[in-house]
Amino acid sequence: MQYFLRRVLVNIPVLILVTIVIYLLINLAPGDPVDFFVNEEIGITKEDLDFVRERYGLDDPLPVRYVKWLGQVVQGDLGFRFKNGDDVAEVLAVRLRRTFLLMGTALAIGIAVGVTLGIFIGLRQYSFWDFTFTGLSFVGISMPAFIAGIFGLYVFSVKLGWFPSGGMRTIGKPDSLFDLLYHLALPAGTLAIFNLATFMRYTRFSMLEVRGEDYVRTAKAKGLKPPAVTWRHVFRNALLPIVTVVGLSLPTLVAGALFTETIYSWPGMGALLVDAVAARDYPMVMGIMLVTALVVLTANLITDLAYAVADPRIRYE
Amino acid sequence: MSKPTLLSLTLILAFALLVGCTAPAAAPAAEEADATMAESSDEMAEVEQVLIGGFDVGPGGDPQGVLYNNGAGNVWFVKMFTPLIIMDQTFSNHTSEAALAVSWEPNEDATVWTFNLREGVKWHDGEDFTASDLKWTAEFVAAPMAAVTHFGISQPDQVMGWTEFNEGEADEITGIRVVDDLTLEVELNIPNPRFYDAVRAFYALPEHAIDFDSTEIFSSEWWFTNPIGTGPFKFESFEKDQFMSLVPNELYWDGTPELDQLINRYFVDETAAVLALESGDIDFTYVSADVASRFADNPDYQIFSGPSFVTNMFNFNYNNGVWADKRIRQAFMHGIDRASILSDVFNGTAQATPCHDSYPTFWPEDASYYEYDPDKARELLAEAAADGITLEGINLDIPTYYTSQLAKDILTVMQANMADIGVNINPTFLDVPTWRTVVLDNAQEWNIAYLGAGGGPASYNPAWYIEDNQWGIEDPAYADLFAAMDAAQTAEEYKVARTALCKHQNEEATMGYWWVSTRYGIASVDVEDFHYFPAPGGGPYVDRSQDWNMK
Repeated sequence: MQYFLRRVLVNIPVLILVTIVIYLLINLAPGDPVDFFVNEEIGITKEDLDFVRERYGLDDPLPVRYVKWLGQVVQGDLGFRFKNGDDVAEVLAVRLRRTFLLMGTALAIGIAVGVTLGIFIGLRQYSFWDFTFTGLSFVGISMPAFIAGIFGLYVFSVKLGWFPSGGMRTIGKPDSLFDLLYHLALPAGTLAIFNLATFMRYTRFSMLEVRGEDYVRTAKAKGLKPPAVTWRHVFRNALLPIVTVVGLSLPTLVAGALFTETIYSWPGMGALLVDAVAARDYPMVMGIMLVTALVVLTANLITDLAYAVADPRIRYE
Repeated sequence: MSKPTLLSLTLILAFALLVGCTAPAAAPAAEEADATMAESSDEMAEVEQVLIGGFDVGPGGDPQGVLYNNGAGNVWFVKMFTPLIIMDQTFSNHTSEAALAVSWEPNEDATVWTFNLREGVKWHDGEDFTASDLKWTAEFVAAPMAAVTHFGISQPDQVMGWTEFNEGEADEITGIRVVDDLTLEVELNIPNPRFYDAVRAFYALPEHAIDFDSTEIFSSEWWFTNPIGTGPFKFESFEKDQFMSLVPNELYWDGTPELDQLINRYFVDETAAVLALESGDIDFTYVSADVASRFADNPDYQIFSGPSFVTNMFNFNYNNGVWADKRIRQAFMHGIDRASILSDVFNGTAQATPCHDSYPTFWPEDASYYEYDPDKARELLAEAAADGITLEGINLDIPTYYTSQLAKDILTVMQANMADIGVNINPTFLDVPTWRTVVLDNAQEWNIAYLGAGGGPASYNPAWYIEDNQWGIEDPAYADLFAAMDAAQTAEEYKVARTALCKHQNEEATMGYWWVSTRYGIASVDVEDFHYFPAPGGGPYVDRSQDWNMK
């Protein structure tokens, strides 16, 4: 508990430092939020832009703007989007839910199938299945997300007509869990390919490494049945690296997947971040970054705590 | 491996496969699902004619936008709201057509315009539309703290009292007067015989139904919960980031629309919209030129095309270096093989333009199109060099906000052409905010920008060329040429004056005027009597959406 509290306290200055760096970077980038109000092909005068800039308080010095923003955040107010006046916290709440659903499903499929297959081929090194799944995992890991997304959409939606072409619900029909799952299957499946391949590779490697340990040989020598050796001695000890990889994947639950969300018109955090950056929508960008930083720090903490669960020898003081 | 383990693994794998494969079997295909749902619901059974489109895809779109924010999105806005005057179907005939106003006439010196409004126009909630709504709208969007930059009236400072009101020095725009419920009078500071064209994006808003302050114009939920207009369709529902649905306005002055539902689905990406069209999930979307060619011979789709009315050009920065010398500018025109770019890169989907003006109506017949002649280009550069004017040591990065593959291919060919005559240009592809910072805020650091510029067929912004322009052009002829346009009292006089302006730009090569590209929309053949035109900002133009129907 003491360790947990200490980690939480240490994370607070880290979080503030992260917000300062991000605030600085986004403001140093060329352009500002008033650019959203400009249609380049129609045009606008410089005076009009200066007026809008003043209206949004963008003429204040950078440190003043940061302190104002931080003051609001401490009071639980993430501000409003420059682009359309939406409440940043409300937008985040909605988008996080959608991204969590998409990424969570993909991650769950990835873990369940990837770890299972990893164990399967980890116990059959250099077999037909090992070569087959290892080969496929290279394809899964190396295929760019936008290629996988367009390919999936083209084959399963355009050609086969099995799945919808994107979005989260069928327009004109009442909301239903089934309809949601129907729309979720293709983007989540696409994302799961990468997760699945990654977890399979790590699990296989970890299983192979542990299988060669002395204590595994001892377990076999003392007459334990193969399942007991596999689950109690090999898998349990092979879990640590897998826990690390899963922990590193947790931030994607909120960060979203830019290309997949874009190609499947899934309105999540990835698409929101791109939209916010393109519009130089500082409050929205800061809101997203704050949440992402929070989740990264929390995920690291959870991962560290999970080590102790996976390996009783690990103790935190 | 033991049997139970093997069995467990098999079961897990089988479950994973089932999750992936049974969904489509359990979920009916879109059409079957439509039928099933329609049968099971009386309400849905009534919805027979539904058109779903990606109406905000492409450069003219403004997904989830609101009126008066950035000038785009008119393809969708015009379904719910109506402007005072609207452009014709093809946006190109220099014709303004009746919308809220049925006729308009100026006084003798074109300083006072009288707009006679249509009788019997009602707001979606049944209230009568009157001239007061228009005056109220003008003042609502021009209010000092509203931070609106696109007012619907081009060059609004021409309207008497507009500037004073906008700056908070007056309580009303004195130049906009309500004569009676069906007559609006607008008084101008200067004569403007073509003022009618300046109000084609001036949409009426309902004074009685708007309960928010003008400072909340872009943030109010009203636009997405209960917007009220006078257009052929009225609001039904909105799902943030996903779609907006409209239903027919039974009170529409030109008859109730035939469609039962008109839906605008939002896409972040054009590719996603095209795939949705091909899968049958939507019936219409904007597409870029290279995608349109894929649909050319497909009998399942109908293609709508038209010029973008945006002139793509090299913007020479006269504030720096050598651009005041005509020979240097003309060397660029002769040094680049425009004809090959149009035929081989654009595949014929763009038209060469002789000047800034994107309307062929105003192009002189004897205009020069600067044939590709690298020898002539070298000669011009050598002549200039003999007078001490060279491009040596000048930064020839070319910032552009066009980042499509097509734009990259075009600029690559230009780069190769210019390298042939010994000039090394370097295209740099930037997002719009970065481009604006590089080009507009750091004018001393660049020499050429590749950009697009649009404008109306009856209005022309002189800010680019007259004195104190931001590009540093010092050509006294422009003041006279623009003055002649302003003085024109008839359409014919105006055409002559504007053509003369084009001729001068063409001869001087004031900027590197290249082409006007063609833009496209693709609709399913199931949509009948449909009309789309890829106008700048999406219009507004006459699309007669009340006649659209599904086979």
